[in-house]
Amino acid sequence: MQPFVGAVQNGNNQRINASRFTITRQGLSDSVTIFFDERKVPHIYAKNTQDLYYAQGYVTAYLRLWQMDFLSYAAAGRLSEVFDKEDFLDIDRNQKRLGIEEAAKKSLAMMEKDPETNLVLTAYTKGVNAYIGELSYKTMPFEYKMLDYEPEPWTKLKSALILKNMANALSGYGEDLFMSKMFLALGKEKFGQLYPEFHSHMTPMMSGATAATSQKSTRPDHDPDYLTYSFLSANSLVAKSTYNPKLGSNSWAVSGKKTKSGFPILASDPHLGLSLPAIWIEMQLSAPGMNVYGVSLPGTPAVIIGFNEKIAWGITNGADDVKDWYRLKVSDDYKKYELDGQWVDLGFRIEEIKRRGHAPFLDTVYSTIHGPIVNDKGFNGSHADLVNCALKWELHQASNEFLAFIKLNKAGNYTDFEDAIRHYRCPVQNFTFISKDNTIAVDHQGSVAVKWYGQGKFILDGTKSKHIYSRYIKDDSLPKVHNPASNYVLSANQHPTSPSFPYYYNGYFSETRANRIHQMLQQGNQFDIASMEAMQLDNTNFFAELILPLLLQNTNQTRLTANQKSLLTGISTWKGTYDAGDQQALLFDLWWKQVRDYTWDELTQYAFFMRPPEDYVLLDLIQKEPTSIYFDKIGTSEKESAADIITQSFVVAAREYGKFRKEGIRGWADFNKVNVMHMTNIPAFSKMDISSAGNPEALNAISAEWGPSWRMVVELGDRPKAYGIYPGGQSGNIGSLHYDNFVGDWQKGKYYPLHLFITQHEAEQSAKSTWTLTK
Amino acid sequence: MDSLKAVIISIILLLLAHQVDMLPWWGFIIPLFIFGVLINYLKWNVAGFSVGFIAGFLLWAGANVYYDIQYDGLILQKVALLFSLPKIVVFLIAGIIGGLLAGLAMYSGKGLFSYRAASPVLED
Repeated sequence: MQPFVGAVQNGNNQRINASRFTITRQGLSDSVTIFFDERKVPHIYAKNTQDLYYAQGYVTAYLRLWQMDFLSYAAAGRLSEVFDKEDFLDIDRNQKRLGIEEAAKKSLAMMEKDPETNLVLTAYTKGVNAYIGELSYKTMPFEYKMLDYEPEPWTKLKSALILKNMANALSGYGEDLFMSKMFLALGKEKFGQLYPEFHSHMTPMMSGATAATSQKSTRPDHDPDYLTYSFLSANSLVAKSTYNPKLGSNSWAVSGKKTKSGFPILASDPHLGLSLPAIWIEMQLSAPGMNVYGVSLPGTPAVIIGFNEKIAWGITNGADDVKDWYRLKVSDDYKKYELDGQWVDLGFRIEEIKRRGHAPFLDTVYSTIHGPIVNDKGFNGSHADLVNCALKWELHQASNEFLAFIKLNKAGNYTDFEDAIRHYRCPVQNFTFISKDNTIAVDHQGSVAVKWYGQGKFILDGTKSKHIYSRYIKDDSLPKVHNPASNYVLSANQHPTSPSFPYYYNGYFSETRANRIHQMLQQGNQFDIASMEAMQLDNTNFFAELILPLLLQNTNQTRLTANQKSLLTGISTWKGTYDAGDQQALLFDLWWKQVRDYTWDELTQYAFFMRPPEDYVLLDLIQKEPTSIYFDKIGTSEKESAADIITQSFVVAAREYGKFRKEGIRGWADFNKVNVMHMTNIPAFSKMDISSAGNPEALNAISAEWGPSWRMVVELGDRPKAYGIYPGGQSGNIGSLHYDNFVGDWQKGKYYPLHLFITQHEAEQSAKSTWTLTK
Repeated sequence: MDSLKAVIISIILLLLAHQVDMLPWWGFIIPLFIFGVLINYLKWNVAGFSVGFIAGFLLWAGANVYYDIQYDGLILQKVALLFSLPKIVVFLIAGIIGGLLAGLAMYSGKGLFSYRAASPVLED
């Protein structure tokens, strides 16, 4: 309220709007110039690497300090220091027990040993701290004033924490417990039918343009014979996961042989939680030996997804399961655990959780050879069934992903690219790549353990050392495609390989978007930037289009009213499009959901139920076994078939659809609302109820709280032509016009030209504002 | 007349005190407290609290309005939204807080001195 240093002062944007601004005595080895373009994207020009990353740290802190600082608190399990609320203690304990901070510390030690990474991280940290050093109460970000705390000095550990936090978001999902229980409940045969490793409707990354695989896995189907009811405590609940297995992404690349210009084009749109300030921040980094443009994660150095004059790259989540649980036998006093018939000492560490307004909380975390015991009798959390299970997670390993990006930013060809991404370990990511010389590639990169069939899909036995894996698939044996005959590559969280891949792996793959991308890339031969943008904005649900004829065929029209019949006629020509004004999408959504509910009612009866089988499994069942027992509804004397279920579902859907129509819902966008939330979930600082086209199964994978967090299309050539947008704004300041100014255009499917200036002179010409950091 | 003069002087004092970055956020009440003491010497016939309140109110509400107009005005709009209040109420609340703080400071300054001045009389 105080007008001279209080909230109103956070509306001061004079500095970012100043045409010239000089920041003196920065302790740099040379001066650095930062040009802000019309969208406030900083183009940083430095004369050496160190100064460049210093300036990146400085300018990122200027734009996003509270966000990056807050993320580092959340990652480390330190929210209780900010919020005086009991609820946060459990969140913090869980975070600490998962070992995110431990892993960040371990990784930092490794990063500091690498001179290049250490130089970059040190410079970035200095830059952030230089900005923090300038702050007074008046100029500190609004959220600090509101939550009544102050920025603390940035550290290299905080950058490492943010990296591990991202790895957690991308690989934290798990269903080992659910799968174990389902396996026991259904038995091997039914389980294999309903939750198969592979099915016939896939476009694996590695088979590129060749036909989708149709053969079943030929490998011996080992029984996890240790998996018994006495091993697990079956029939209890599986806690609802806060992770989203659908956090997917699209990225594809087309060689010049399939484009109008003759140059290769790459498209990348990572789907992540939509937040304000946005996950990404755009910038250009230029110094001798590098000139790169793209998005960076606030709090970490380098560009994560982007392009330079010679190459462009995109990233999607590999979706492999790299997080496994081991059921232990632990002595009552938590001193020993059993391994191969021996009682071995449990390790432990004591975590201190500082709390605002309370005494610090001390938590003991036990650990075994596998990893930490996240839930024990002192901390059930919401995972009673995982009590006394040890977590073995790739995230816990020391890794230096920063080096992958530092090298990638400077890469000039395929060899450089391969050399850069081998430093990327966790979680597994698909890197798509194009270079000016018309090379295209996609790599499934990261640490993938060599496992026996089914290992890690279910809870493992912690008392047997043979259940522990320690070997990894060598980098050159990982799935990858380089200049395929099809002239395109794609990744969209689908299976990376066909079943013929020599190693076992499992994961949380989705096939529908990949199938659609494959369909579109196969058809076209004259791609340009506009057609790639149209693909990213494509609202077609490939699966819906595939299944609709089957549904129509199985609907018994004689059992429908006149009104229902006319609705059925309406949807019969639908093409699976979730466009903003589409009238049929909602009806289909309701219909298909009902078909699923009626079919899998046997499974939802289980208290531990988590997710039904994949839609493609149900499609096959309708087609090949229309009288399967699953179609028989529980609690009815009649024995229903697929056609009965489908007809009855349509009646239910038509009724619900009618209700929505009465509420005034017409087009799909009236129903499909998106919220871009401020990180504190305060509605006043968020953009809410944005009507939007799209569907999680469409390439334009928009849902209520997550979606394409960055859309980028790059065509290489004499100079790169690039377009992109993200739902947010460059500034993290809620009092700035640049806080959320991209959201409207993002929702409309617009793209902004991305300026990778080739010379400093070019940057100067286009600059709306210029900052100079002096020695 | 004295009251008007006192209000103007108070505003100037507050304004100056606010320019000193080193003071804590409530530091601006110190000069007002001193001014309250001085008023007794000047023998101005004014009500300490009212003068302080009016000065504080005008300055806090006014300066918030001024900065709100000078900048983009977005931040207070969002603060208002946060409390589900119209923006004008935010200015009024700011004014009242500023007024109360300044008023109390001046009242205490003036009151403390007059109490001391009055003490010997009471002993008589």
